[in-house]
Amino acid sequence: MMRAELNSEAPNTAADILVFKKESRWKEIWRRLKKDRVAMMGLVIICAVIFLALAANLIVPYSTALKMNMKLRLAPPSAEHWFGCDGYGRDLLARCLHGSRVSLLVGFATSFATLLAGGMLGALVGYVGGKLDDLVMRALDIFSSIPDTLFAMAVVAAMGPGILNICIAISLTNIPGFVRMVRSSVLNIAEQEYIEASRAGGASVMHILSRHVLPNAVGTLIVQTTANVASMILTAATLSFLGLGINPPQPEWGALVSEGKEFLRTAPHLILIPGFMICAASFAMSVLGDGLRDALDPRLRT
Amino acid sequence: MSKPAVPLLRVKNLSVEYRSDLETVKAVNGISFFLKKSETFGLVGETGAGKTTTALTCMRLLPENTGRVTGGEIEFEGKKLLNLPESEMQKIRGERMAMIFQDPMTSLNPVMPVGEQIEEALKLHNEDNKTKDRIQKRVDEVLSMVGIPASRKCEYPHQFSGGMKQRVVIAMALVCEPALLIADEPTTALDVTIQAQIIEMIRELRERLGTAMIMITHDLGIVAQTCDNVAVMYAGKIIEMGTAEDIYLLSANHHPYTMGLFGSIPNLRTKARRLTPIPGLMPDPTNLPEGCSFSPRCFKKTSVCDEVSPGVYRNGTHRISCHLLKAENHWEAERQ
Amino acid sequence: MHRFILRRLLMMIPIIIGVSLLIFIIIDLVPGDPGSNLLGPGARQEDIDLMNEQLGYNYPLLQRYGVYMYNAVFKLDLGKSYSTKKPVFTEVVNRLPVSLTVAFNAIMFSLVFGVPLGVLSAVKQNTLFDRIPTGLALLLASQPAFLIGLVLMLIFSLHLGWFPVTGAASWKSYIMPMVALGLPHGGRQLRFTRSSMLETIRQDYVRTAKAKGAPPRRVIWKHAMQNALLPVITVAGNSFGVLIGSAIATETLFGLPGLGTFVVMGIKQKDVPVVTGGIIILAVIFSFVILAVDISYAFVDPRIRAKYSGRRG
Repeated sequence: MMRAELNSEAPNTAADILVFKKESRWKEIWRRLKKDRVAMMGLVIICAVIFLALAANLIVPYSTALKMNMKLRLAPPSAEHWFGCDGYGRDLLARCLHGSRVSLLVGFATSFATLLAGGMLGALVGYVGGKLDDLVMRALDIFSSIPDTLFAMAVVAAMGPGILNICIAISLTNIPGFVRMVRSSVLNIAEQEYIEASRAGGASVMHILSRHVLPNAVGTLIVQTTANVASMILTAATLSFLGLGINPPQPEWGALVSEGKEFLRTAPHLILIPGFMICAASFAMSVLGDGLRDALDPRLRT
Repeated sequence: MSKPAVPLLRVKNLSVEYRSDLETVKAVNGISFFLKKSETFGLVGETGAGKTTTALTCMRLLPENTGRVTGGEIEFEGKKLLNLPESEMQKIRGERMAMIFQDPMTSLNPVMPVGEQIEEALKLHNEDNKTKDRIQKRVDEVLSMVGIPASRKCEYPHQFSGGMKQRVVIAMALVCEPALLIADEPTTALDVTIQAQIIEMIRELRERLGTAMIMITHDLGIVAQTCDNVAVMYAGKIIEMGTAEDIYLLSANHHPYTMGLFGSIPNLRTKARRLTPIPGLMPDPTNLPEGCSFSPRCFKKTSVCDEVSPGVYRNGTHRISCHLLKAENHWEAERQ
Repeated sequence: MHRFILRRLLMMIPIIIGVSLLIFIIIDLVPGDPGSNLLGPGARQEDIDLMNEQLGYNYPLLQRYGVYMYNAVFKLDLGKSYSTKKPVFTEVVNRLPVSLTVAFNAIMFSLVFGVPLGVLSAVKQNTLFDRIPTGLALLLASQPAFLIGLVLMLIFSLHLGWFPVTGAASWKSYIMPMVALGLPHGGRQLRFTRSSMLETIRQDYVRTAKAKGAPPRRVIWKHAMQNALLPVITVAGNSFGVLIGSAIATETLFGLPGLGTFVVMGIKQKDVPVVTGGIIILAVIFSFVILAVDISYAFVDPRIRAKYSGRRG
């Protein structure tokens, strides 16, 4: 009886075994990640920030973030205005909440754009190699010779400020590094014998890329993308701080800090609160990235 | 056999574990052996049998974070090594006891000229204040001893072939004329022709210098060429030990694992049609079976093997840890 | 070795051409023409057209680029600023020392605490000596430099009055920018040093050194460190790009008259010659830093030295 049951559950085709293995791999990674208290803290923080950003409209309407009230100019935190008010008497809590929508959107959207564009290009040139590889890598050499923020500034200068333009600018600056990383891990994997075996078995390029190369590179991709979100939140904040980000009066964390710096002496909470949110989001993504890296490759830890 | 005089190295009931957050690997499980001056002792077994761990424990070079000695003692030249402070141990390493590692490709510092790496050992143990010239002369001497022209001492490891690198490693180990040399699979990473050269060289140098040696290998041929005494390890235990004659005498009693090892070597003289490999794999060291560790793979296994760990039986210099020997004449159980 | 450096310098030429062309093309998308910008809003259309004609604005993009680069390289002329009418090149030369001082100080500061603490935390892995520095490093690396700058300003200028808030009057003005830039950078440096060191102390040759009887201090600083430095150097070079980005924000915050402030002002005023010249100069400097890193590699690693200096080592 027991035996029969066991048999019915046992994987009996190659495909089943693959699925079975895949599931247990992710479960195993999740199990290890759960044990990492610092990484879990990061996950909780980032989930909370994302939740607040999504629910911003339910908590305070967007109009509150823009409504000026000179009577409340530079008001310190109070029961009514938890984070106080800014130089125009606008509620800082509302501005921070709605600002987080922009900051997180930029951070995540640029990371995913980089992941998609950089990942595909990297996999392609890594796998195809030859002249295409040479050409793309030389072009990327030029791209990456321009410091990230500087390049983003040039793009914003040409296209003007605005969320979409920032996203394009930041994504463009991060794609070269990502292409390089994916390319080298593809080259690494492509050298492995099982790829050779698969190719000898007559598998097509697309098949090998999607079945063997990508699943093996996916760990690196996830870790890098998580870390990217952290650094792109910082880049976006830096651009907005320089006044090259979004158009005022739209709130964004970096822009809030920039607006607050005039009142540094009288109302330091205007920079400390949005500044803290930038750090918290970036820190949370960084520890999550570290935790994921350790969970994906536990050999690195001991 | 009478008891030996003062042994150079005595390992008694040594047990070593590797602990990480996820698991505990029992690498060495209560092994004992000793080694006299100028003697060569062979430690044979499959990958993962605990040979290298034994060697590293003797040198006190176990990975600090994970490796842990859980029992037993090691006595070397009258000193209890496991209780020695680290500073004392540094004086022994390289000076009295040296080690040759498995992979010459990775065991040399890539950014330091080879001469300097050999010189370092001399400088570290320069109790009698040798002058710079004397040290340089000694480096040249030891290089030519291992067959490398002294003119190459300013070159970097990447400029040497694998075999040449292993010669450098050997020169480095022998430069202070240690009393004991531990060679951990010194030829595994090399081509077969180079292997023979290196083994021949080690043997010659050992005889010339009178150094005692522990030869760790999975190659029974190397053991036959070089060793006085041999121990066969399996899953962290010594399952058979004796003089080279004891082990290689086919008509004598052997542990089934040892017989399996010999069955796995191609032999042109016998007419066997095919090799007889040992079925199965070594047991998982995080979860060793009860009773005899070899019982799951043993072709002579009885019911007792799964339950009771076998004691050691002895016939002269020959010791075997197997229940089968209980019934044999001339073999008597040894007190633990 | 000389051949290697010469070859690397030659390889810089296409990179610099590519970089400047790319920037030139991007900035060319900025709306407006130089004539109306230079002459101001009240100018007559004929004068604007004439000015554009004189400046060569009516030629195709590639030709204008050619003329621009020819003037830049052979006449040291990067055009005139729309807003101040001063030559961009003089302005850049005057501001460059400020920016270089800020960047150099910050890098030195970050190396001084990042590398030793990184080594310490790798050697003492999983103890408090590891957890505290790495935790702190991650926290620092998650801060934008301008935020640290603001907090420093709040404490040390406004409350304690130790340092001036803005300007570049004396050496004192450079302290807070150095710390603001250096802290997050040092945090990154610490993390890279640690992971590189962790990798290295597991190498066989480190065990060989121990087997020789070398004391731990020698094993770490002599054998492991020299090897672990290689990736650290690379990262220090590459992250110079990140540093330039934060440096721009820091300069702006502390009102230092550096290249960063210059470019930011240029972008806000749509001052095309300023932006083009400033960004191209910064990008060229960055390329030279990367080159310096590549060359210093060869000094540390004999394998690379051998590869570049011909067949024999």
